[in-house]
Amino acid sequence: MGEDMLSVLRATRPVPEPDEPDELAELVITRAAAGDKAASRALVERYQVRVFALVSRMLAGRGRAAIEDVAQDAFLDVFRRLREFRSEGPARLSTWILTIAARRAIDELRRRRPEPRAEVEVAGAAHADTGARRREVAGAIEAALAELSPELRAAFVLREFHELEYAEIAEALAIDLGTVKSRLSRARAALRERLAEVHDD
Amino acid sequence: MTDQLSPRERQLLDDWAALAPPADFAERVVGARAAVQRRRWIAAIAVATAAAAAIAVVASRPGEPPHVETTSPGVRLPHVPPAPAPVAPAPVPAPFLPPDIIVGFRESITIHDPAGTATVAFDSSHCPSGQNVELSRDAAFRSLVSTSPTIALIAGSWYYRVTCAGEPAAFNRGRIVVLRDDGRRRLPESLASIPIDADGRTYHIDYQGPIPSLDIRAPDSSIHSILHLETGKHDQTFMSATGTFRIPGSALAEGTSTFWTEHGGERSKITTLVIEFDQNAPQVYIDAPRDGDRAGDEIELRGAVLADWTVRVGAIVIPVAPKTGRFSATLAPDLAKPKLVVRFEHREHGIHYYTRRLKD
Repeated sequence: MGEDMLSVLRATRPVPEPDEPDELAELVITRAAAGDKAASRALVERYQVRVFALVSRMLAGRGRAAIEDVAQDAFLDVFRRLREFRSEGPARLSTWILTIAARRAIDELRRRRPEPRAEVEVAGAAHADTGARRREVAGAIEAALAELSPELRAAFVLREFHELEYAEIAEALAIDLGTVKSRLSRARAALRERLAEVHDD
Repeated sequence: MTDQLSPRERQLLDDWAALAPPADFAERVVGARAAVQRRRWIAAIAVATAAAAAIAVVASRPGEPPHVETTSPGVRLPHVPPAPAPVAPAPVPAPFLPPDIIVGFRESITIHDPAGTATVAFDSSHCPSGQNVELSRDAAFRSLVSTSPTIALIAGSWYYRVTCAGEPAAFNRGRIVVLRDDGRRRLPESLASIPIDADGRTYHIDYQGPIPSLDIRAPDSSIHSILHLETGKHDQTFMSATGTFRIPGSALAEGTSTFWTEHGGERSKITTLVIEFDQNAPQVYIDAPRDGDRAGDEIELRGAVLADWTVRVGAIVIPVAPKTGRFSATLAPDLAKPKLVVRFEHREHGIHYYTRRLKD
């Protein structure tokens, strides 16, 4: 099996949530802020799954390279501003990082038009039906998201996949609470319409 | 229609898999960060070097040694009216992670920080193509803990070694001790003299500043006598018509000495002096600013040191009053970013940094 196929399989497998404690120890954050490599690595390893999940969903339809670039830039932003983060403040580190990643993804969506979407391949005939079904659902969701503005898409992904509170989303996207609710309502309606096309029950 | 997603819609969303990070993603990010950091450091050090070259000698108070003051950070020394207007420094690109202290070439230092934490970087002027810094708890580097160019340290003792990029051997190494200390312990008061009897016993004297003078009493203190002092380096003889000998601190030395008195050919018992420097006694006292104070438009730095310490903030030498050991200066708030770092140096006790975090 080629490396391309492996990466496709990795990409289509649900990403497990980490079992570790939710947030990084303060000492590790301090060291990472000061440039310590081991601490910096620990920070990336702790939050990379969530950042990739966010960025890949917001940039659905873009190539893997674009998603990796945005995720990497998001972490570089995180390190550049890590001294500003206050663990005693209102935001958890994970929320703070996701906020930075969401803004990076919004910038990317504004800057570049979508690339032609790569076909998702499925290995093995036994899984062909499941794979085709998954592709269909993924296509519907991506199509629904593609109709949303970058900010709307960010609000939807942060809420539905990362379970941020409305207030946290408002803070992350610098919009008021009412706007968050109305945007999410519109996003859900768009998604519901698209998913109805692929419902099999 | 409800605004919330139905369970079926929720499940479809959950099935929409996200992309997983590649296995080496964290390593790539750390590498990219190091590259950014290196580029910014090169720019920052170039500017800092240019600023350090702009040093001017200014007049000092009568009776005090001359000192130097940089023209750029806007520092004024006290009691030199009229105070020159601060000259705004040229814009300096902020380093990616500004360290509190840049450790000089082969320097071993002690950092006194109220929180017991400090961020250090290392002089890179000997490695134009970049350098690799290793930090360890032990001198043999069996417990390597960091290889970052800028390192956050917590209280404890650390060894570092620096290797130029592409070079196999470390060219620069030293030790860094971080203490949780706010420099607010009062300095010991110097004693005029310490009374000692020439009785054959052993006296232990812990000194904290200059070695104190001794008043040694002969067994019969009413008659003329001679005192012989052997400090290990040389022998000295003192005379007295009262039986009490004033031995100045300058005649004594750290370590073990012996003495005896003599009168009419009769010698006293040999008494032993063990003179040691008190490592735990404070040498430096910083009265202001206190940690957490507001920097405001200017920072008042005040404190005192025991004998033979020099005081600096950056390239600025702060004069120390010879008799009282007190020092004071008015500093520009820019000097407190990210921390106010005051460097104290002593020919025997080495280099000590005292830090303060000040609010804007």
